[in-house]
Amino acid sequence: MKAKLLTLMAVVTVLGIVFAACAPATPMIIEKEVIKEVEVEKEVIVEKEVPVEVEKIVEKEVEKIVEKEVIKRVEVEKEVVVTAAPAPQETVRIVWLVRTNPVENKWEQEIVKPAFEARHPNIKLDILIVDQDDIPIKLEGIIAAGEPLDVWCSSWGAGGPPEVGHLMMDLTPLIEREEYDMGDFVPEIVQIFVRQGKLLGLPLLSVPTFTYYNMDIFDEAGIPYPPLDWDDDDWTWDAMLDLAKQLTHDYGDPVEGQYGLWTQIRIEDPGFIWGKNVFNEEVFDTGFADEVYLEDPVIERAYQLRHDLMYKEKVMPEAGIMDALNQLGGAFQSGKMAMLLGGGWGHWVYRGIEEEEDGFCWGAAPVPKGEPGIFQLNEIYSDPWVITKGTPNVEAAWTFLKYVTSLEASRSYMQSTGTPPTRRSLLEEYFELYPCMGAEKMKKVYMGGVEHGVEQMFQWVKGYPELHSTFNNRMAELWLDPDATAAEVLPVVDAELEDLLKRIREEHE
Amino acid sequence: MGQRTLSQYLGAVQTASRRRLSGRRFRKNVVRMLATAVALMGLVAILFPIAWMLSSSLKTKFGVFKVPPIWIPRDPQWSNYVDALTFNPFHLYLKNTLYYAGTVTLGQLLSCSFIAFGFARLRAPGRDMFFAIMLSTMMLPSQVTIIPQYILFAKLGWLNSFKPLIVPSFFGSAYLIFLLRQFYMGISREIDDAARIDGCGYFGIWWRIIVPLSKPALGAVAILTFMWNWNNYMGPLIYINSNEKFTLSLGLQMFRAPFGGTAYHWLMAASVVTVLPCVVIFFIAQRQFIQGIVITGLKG
Repeated sequence: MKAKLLTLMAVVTVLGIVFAACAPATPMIIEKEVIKEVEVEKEVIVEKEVPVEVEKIVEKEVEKIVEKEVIKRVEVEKEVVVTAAPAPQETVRIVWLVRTNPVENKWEQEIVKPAFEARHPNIKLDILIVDQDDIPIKLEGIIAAGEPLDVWCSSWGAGGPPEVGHLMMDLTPLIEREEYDMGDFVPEIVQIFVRQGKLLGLPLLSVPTFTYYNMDIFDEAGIPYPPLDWDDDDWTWDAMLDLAKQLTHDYGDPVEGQYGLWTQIRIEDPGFIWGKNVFNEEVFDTGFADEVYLEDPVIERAYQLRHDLMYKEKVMPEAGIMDALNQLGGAFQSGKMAMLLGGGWGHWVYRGIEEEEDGFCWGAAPVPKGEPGIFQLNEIYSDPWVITKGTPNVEAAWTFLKYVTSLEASRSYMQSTGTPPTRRSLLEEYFELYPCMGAEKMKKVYMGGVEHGVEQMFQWVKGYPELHSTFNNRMAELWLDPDATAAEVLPVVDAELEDLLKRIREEHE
Repeated sequence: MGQRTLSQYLGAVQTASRRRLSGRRFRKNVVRMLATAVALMGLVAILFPIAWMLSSSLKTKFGVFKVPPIWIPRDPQWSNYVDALTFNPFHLYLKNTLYYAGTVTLGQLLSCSFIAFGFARLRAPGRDMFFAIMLSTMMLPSQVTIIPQYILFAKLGWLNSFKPLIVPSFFGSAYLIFLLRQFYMGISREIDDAARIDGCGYFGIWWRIIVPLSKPALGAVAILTFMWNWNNYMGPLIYINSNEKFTLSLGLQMFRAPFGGTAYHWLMAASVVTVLPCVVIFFIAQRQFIQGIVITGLKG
């Protein structure tokens, strides 16, 4: 009887495996060395005690595997780059990792893939679409397991060069080999992806920060729009506040409420308006920030003024109201927000609102100056396409990279998505996409933003994602408490962040 | 006089009793009305997101963002359903999900009921210890096992296939084994004895006696497993690397976009279609499901 039981268990097990095996599967190539390394890592993991901070441990273990994989791949890469033929002759499959975005995905699947494969019949393009928030776990998992991945964007959830620079291939030898013409790219944008003399990516998009405004709300109130000139000394924090006061009514009313202003908040944002960076200059050279200047009187005041917008001036929605507006899709898109000081992705996210029934026209204005005479800064958000270090498909990936950043592909990307181009020759064409504001005005505001821009700090600061997460959590004490003051909260946060930065440095040195 | 007094007395008792009865009835009715009102409020709270989902699925891209929300769109965008289902190969995602969730359900039903039978009906040295060890695996958070499991499946060359998602289900799940074992413990052992006298072996007892008697519990296990896997996001996210093998949960993410660019009108249309199979299965099998939940003591 027991024998029958055992037989049955064996049959059930085999049945399960057969069922699973019936599933369509793509053949996977795992190099023996990778398997060896994985075996070693597994032993390490098993020996460890059950972790308290599971996520951190998981990240570290994956990082170890990734680093080993990269070391091995670097050797392969050296050979490939030196000996590679100008174009691959055999059919090669390359994997292009992109983020979920219905508009971008349509461009990638319906325009780029057919056009590229038609021109390069020996290269097949597999597009892997993953939600931006999930890209870090996916990226590290794929690379650790030796799964194919060739081209991706280092800014989409991945943390930029400080976090994933070790996974990005140096493109300089390829560019030098072909004397590839980089002249049409905006040089400042290209420069962002140069580290220790190595170019790590070709630019996909780049946008400054703007003050977006709802033209219909301004028109209804009979108030002139904000200025276009970034150097206009009349466009100050106080001038913006004054406008916000005039445009706010029924504060807190879920139906009738209209709000004058909302400002995005990253650790560096408030200081930038007063021309100050919260990080020290060294960070641009070393990647390590040893201190943050949250206790600087100017920066502290900037934070207090943002707090005042909610609780003293009552022009900016409190966190709860903002969450409610955002949960319905988007605060600015709801038509209840007169001005929104935020990243330049508004250029493509808000594009088309004016064509909708009950839609509205919107425009972009400079970030205001903290005070007259100050050279205000703003964050520039730049995304590059990069090639995985050590990929066996270097030539195919490079061929694709050149195509996807070519004038033709950049134009179709710009037209399909409304994203600002990184090629100078397309800029004039781009500004025509905004009929409400008009090309000339949009150009003036946009170019001023580039001139006043500082590349977003996560492209420079090692450990920025963790730093920002801690910052957000601790700053809730200020943003959620009407009675809290920046003078009370910021010194505590400052000390905590500096401890964190110290730990990050120790871990990486 | 005496008779009249008695009649009056009886009448008074009757009246008082009626009053008490009507008082009780009144109180009962009030309690029932209050309970109904509370239930209705709960119903509204539960149905609110569903109503929002249905309403948004018929709006334009920016119509979703309107404050206050317009519940019944003036110009319903039925084309959202067509657009959402054709934007990506939704039929493929549906096929993949049906295959994956269906096979896992079959695997769990077979393995869990069989293992639970062993724990509930067979006597063997160390049985309870093994049962305790099995239960203790429920205490391990999935994040702890995710890396070793990933490495294991990578070594087996199973990445980018459904194998890592399906094969483990044929080795049981601690939670479901526990659930079924509790149910099996409630079935009289005398039935086993009777079956044994009639010549049934262990396998026969399990297949011919226990399985038919535990249909409600197996129904609950099947529905729970199917729903968990229908909605499973993390597993497919980690193990599946090509769009052709995506499941519905990954497919729904395709409508998301960073910085508020999510196409909610399509997302909601696709979500309506995605939840439909679960709703249909629940309504068809709800009697067995509720019975199973009650019998196995799964509720609260």
